[in-house]
Amino acid sequence: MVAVSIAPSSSSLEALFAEQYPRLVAIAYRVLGDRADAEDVAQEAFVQFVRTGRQPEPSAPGWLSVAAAHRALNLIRSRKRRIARELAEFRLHRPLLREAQAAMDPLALLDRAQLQIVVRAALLRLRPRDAELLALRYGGSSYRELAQALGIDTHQIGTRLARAERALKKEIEHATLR
Amino acid sequence: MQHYDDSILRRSIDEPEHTDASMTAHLQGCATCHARHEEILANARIGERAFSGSLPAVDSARAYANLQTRPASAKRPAAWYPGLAGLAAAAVLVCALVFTPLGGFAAQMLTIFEPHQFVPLAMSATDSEQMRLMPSLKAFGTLRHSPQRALQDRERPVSLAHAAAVTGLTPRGFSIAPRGIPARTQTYLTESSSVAFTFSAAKARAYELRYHRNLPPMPPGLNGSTIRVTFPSAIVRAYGNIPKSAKDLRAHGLDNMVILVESHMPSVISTGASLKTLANYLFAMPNLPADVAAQLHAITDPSRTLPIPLQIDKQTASPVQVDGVEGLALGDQTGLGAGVLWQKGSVIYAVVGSLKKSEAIALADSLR
Repeated sequence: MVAVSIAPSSSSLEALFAEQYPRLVAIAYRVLGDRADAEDVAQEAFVQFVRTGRQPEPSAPGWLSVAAAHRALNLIRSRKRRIARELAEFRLHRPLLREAQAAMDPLALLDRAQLQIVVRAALLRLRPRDAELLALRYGGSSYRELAQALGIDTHQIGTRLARAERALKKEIEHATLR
Repeated sequence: MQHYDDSILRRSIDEPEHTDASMTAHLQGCATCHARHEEILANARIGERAFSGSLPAVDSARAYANLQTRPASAKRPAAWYPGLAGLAAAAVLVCALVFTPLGGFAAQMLTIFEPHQFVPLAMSATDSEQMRLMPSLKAFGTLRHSPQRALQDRERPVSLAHAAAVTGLTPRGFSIAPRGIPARTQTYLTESSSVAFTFSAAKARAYELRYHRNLPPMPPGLNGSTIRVTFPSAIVRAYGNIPKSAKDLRAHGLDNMVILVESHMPSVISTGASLKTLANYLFAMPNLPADVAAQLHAITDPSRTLPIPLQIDKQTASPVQVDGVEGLALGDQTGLGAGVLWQKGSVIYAVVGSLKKSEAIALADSLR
């Protein structure tokens, strides 16, 4: 294979990669639930970073995080049909909850695989920026990092996160109770 | 009375160290803020539960090494699909290697090599468009196919025992069920076929005069040389929503389906020219994109390495340990699925379908 000529200096990019790659994998993994997919997405985000001529400067981590979140969400959007099939199968075999219990915790009694099906189906129905915020936050970004990545004031993060989680709960209920 | 906004209430859950005594007292005394806080807290807990679980450990050094070996490409490809689209094309390309020789240059390149290992050949949509402008084999020689079965015969399912008897293969099967794939299986058989190509300097000259194009000079010893490629029989097992026809497969790709292909190696015989001479001649053809040519030239053992064309930004490929050997895991960014390609002993295997890459690898590893 042809070795890619990486610009800027390899050492600065390598340092950025070493620092940020695990974070990008974490962000993608929270969305995709699959390690191989998450690593592909994280690497593609770096490829995009290099291709667009970006520099390893203070804004780079935020840019990379958002790129990884977008790619992961685009990947599940491309798998809409498969996710719909998985959700249909889940609904046939889901554990039965009392209505009151479901209202408190719609994710009660779900195993890991079922949880991932429900969460991916819910993410598909969210507004893109709500899904993006949840991917970044639960991928490990702090409020300061979120503000920097999204280009907004730190004070706005709490409001947006509360709204995104409210929407997520609604979509999880839609996925589990229908 | 002033109330706390959602921003402060939500942040107080993640960063309780910033909650002061006055806020705590207010939340205890204000029913509105208390209720609001409880609702936000409940939703936050659902979020934590939804995205819970330990994160995978990653090898950043290895990942960086992989990043450095990706081919360079200046252009972002347009949203364009080859005739069979994305991973379906890669899967069918693998099947086509054993079904029948294709007419395109990509397949013509594939027939030069006797594969024992696979490398991805990254191509952008622009590269593929450019390669369509390359001269066909007929521009500089004569192509002859062995007789083949009619298309309808090729699509008829057979018993696994019959396929094994014809191919001489000992078929292996998955020891785990492909997840989410309906439990239906059909077996198809391809018969052995061959293609022979004889180089002709006279034809190359005639082509140049007719089309006002310059072909690379034919090296000494190539004129009159014949290359014969024999494709052995292959067993193709389809699991799940099995298409009724090849046309159906092209229309729907690999939706809700998994394919397992087993085949002996193709064999390549030359009457004169070496593989290196052939490769150098073909790689000098006009309209072969520079980055594709560079990747092909970088193959250190062209007689044993099969390049797998992949459209960058739509498909991914990475080396993977599977079935006790090194193979190539193929992923797709468009939702079509994934696949694994490897060689064990003298047999080529491919598992492709509407799967995640990890599922394709698990299926491949489960072969017994």
